[in-house]
Amino acid sequence: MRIGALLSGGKDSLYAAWRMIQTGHEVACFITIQSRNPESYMFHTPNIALTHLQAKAAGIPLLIQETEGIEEKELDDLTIAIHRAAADYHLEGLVTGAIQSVYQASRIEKICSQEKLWCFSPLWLCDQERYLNSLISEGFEVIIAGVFAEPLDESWLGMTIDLSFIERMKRINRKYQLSPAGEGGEYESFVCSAPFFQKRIRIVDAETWFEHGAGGYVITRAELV
Amino acid sequence: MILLIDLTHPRITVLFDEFVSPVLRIVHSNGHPVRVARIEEIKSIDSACTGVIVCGTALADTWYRTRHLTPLLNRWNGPMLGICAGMQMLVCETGGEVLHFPEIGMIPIHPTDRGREDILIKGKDEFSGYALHQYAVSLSPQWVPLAVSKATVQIAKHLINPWYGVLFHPEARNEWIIERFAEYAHSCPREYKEQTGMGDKDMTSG
Repeated sequence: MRIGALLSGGKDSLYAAWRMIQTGHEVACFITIQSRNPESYMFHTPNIALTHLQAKAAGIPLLIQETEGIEEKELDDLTIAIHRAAADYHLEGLVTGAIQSVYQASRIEKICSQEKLWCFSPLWLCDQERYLNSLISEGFEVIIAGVFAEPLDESWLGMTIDLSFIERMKRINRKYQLSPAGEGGEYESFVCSAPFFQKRIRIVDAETWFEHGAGGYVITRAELV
Repeated sequence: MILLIDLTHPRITVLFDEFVSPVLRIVHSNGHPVRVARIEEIKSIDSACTGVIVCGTALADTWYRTRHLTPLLNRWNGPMLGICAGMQMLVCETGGEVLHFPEIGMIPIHPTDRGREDILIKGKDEFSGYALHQYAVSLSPQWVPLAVSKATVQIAKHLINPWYGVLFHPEARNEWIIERFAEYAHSCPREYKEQTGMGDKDMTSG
């Protein structure tokens, strides 16, 4: 099946796309929604401008749609993007990285239903610890691009998701009930390499910020190597 | 042991991740042994089976409508829970009908008086359920509604056998329904199956 993959730049959207490839489907295009609102309900924002590098690394075309990021109205922009991608790339389905968010999943399901597309969320309700381990064992290189919940502080920014990260998140989960995969917006990630990338992304320069309990790792210069 | 039946399209194996794995995880994490079989591969049921859960599938997946539960229903009168497409099959093959009635998203679920007394949802007042279906059901007189939404029956129970149908997806936000069913199936008196001739048959899941 020819699939379009919603691409935020984070681990969930790229792992979901990888899962479709693994199970015999063709990711014919990526779709990125660039929101001007950093608190968008639907769309992940840190480093989203760099999804073009991820698409290039994977050798998959990217369709970008801009949105003001106003709640519910941003869905109109998503619908336009999906409609355009379905027509341009002859899509039969769409894949999302939704894990637990019914808000996110149901809205994309509705658009897919209108557009007569299959909708896939292979990470839906997954065992999050197992998923994080799969990311590592299957060769994803992922960094933390934003933190938005205590006790995550600036020391986490730019950190690689590895076994020690998972151990720390497990401990934090036990104490603070934070989602290990960051599904509740506790943290955001950026993928530098994936098993289906032909090149990896090298971060040349980045800036970090942290205030009022939230922070970001903003990649200012990166290249494919 | 709880047997999960996978109704997803056989050529789209990734659907297992989304519609079977979450149910498997809930049952397993509550300490119940669990096995999974695809609907077309079931030839018989293992004698260790205490309950059957027929899982749902994707909104665009209509493959299950080419299959039948009847061979299973003819041999199994122990506890069974049909989720979404599983409920549609269960109700449809026991005299009911399916109606084109798409619903997507969280919807309010209201227990009926009968539902408030039933072990599956006893003690629950109104709650929200995650709907993801193209078809709703019209019940035959063999079934009684335990909970309804504004528009349709959402949970129903068979009047003769311990069979339940849930139209929304309890694995999202309402894990307690699957947990209660698995517990109920586990504690269902063994005599029940023996009285109905199910306890000593040679049954293995395919």
